[in-house]
Amino acid sequence: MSRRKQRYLHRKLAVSVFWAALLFAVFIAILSFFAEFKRASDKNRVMLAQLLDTVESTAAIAAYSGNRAIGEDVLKGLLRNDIVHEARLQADQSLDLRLARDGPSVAQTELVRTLHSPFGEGEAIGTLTVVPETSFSLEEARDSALLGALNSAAVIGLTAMILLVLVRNSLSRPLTKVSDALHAIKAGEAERLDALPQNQNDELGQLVQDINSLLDKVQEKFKDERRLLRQIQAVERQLRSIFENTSAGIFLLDGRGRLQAANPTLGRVLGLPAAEADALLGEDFPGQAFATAKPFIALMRQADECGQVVAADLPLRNHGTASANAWVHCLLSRHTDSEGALCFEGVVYDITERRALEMSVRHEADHDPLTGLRRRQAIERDLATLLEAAQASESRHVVMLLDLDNFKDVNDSYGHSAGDIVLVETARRLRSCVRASDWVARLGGDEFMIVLVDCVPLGRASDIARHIVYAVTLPIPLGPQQEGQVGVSIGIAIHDQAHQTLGDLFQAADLAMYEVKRQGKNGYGMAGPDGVVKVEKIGTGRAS
Amino acid sequence: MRRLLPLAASLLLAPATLADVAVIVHAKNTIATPPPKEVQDIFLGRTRAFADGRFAMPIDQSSPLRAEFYQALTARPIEQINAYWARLLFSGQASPPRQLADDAAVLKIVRENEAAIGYVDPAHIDRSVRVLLLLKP
Repeated sequence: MSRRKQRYLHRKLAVSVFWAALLFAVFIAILSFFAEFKRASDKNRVMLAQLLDTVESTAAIAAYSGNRAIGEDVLKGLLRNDIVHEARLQADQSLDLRLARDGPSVAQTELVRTLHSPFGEGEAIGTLTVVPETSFSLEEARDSALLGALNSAAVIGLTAMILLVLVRNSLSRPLTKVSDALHAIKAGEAERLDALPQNQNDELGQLVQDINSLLDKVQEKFKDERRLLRQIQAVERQLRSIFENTSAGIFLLDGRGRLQAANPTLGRVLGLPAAEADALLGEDFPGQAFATAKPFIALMRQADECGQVVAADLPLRNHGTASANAWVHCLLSRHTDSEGALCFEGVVYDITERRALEMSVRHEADHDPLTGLRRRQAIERDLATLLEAAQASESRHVVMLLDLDNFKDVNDSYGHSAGDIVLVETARRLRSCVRASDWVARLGGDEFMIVLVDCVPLGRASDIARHIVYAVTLPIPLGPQQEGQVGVSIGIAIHDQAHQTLGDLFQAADLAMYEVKRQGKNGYGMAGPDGVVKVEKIGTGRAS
Repeated sequence: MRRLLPLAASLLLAPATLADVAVIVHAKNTIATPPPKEVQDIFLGRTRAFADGRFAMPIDQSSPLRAEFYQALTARPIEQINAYWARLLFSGQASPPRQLADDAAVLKIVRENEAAIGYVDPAHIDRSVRVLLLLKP
């Protein structure tokens, strides 16, 4: 609001008052014209009646006596009054006098006075008639109305002027002062309006007080808001710092698995070259980030179905920068974005080292440090998993239990270190007899176990067993000029209808092996479907 | 009856302050007895003729009977009658009836003039005039 507008407001008030006064004066003039016209007409009639009263007796004498001279005198006397336009005297005896003023005659209510005889019983002897002068009433009314209008205009104008001055001095000026002062103050500043000494106890004083208290509150709010803003900014900085500097990669996917947003760490965690950190935006995340897309897609489905945070360890796709076999731990949860569409929020962090450590620990736990073969509990665990999977597929697996013959003799003759050499060499030979995908384990002491994974045809198991016997029974060099030789008894069980569980297989293989031992070692035995063990003994170079 | 006679005599001899007034005309005047209003119009100059159209000449008196006559005829005091004539005289167009001194002068004029009409105390009436009207006070 500028000062010019304020002045305009003031002038507008004056103009409004002027027009209102003018309208009022005109209205009053019109009203007073009609009132005055009526009043003047009424007054005229009263005056006419009084005039008639004055001349009545003389007129009666003129009418009674038929005296023309007196009658004319009476009429002339009447016409001398401005308010009389015309006068007539009519008597019974052919006396008919009429006297009128020049000028237009307007149809008017005439005043008729019956004349009575001055003598006797007062019988009617004639009439005296006067017609009032209209223009006189009109003029008087007009003059009176004009005067009234002037009067009211003067009074209204004077009142308006006094009112204007008063309003200007006691309202507009302080108001302008307050307004200008308020205009100069910026919200939230410490400045306040000056109190108006003359308006301490009226509305203006209250207005100033209220504005000042409002300014106080605004300033307080501003202060609060600034403090709050600083806090929010600090928190935001912290959050941003966490988001950007966290060691976890944070990402947002749409319902179809395309990357919508990611923090800078994500590229690092995924092993992307620095330049390509943002290259994945909009791309198919499962396919681009992971070694295989399937586990992650399964994870997405799981998150969508259960509605909770799900987690999995997943191998990354090799982008050529990080070490091969990088793994991440991935947390994924399903959300609905502001538009109601499905989206996924996820966190990944690098677990390559932890996983490597885990793997090595697990390897140590699972493998015999001497021979490098799996331990009993590892192969039992893995075999249980394998058998479970086999129920679904049609795969046939073969379990072999092996026990070395004469190992105790070697141990006793050449010492424990020689026994160790025998065990290590035997393990090497066993491994060389089977495919890489088959499993070889040392169950303890001189007991071994072999699992032929998906052995087709089954007849091959006998060939392999035979081959193992040949291989194991070959002499083992223990040192200069020293050789050791051991034999082996093998019990074979086939995973089939009769032998479903791990226990069944073990028991069947064990039975077959003892049957071989019983019949003289160095050979293999296989439990048939009928439970009868078929044993084949294999002669070697140095049979014992 | 004897005791009442002196009372009747005293009444007859009392001054005639409220006595009747007789309106008289020439013995040969034969008009019918008019209402008092016609007599009034003749004496106050409103008309100059009898009801039958013949000229009428009113004869007034300057005696005390004048007041009684106008009082009986118009029910107005004599001052008002005088004022009336004064106003008409001022216009110069009318004159009041001729005034005679007493009843005897009036009787003489009425006997001699057929148009004359006057008024007298009934006590002075004789057969030489005709009593047109007897005005009661």
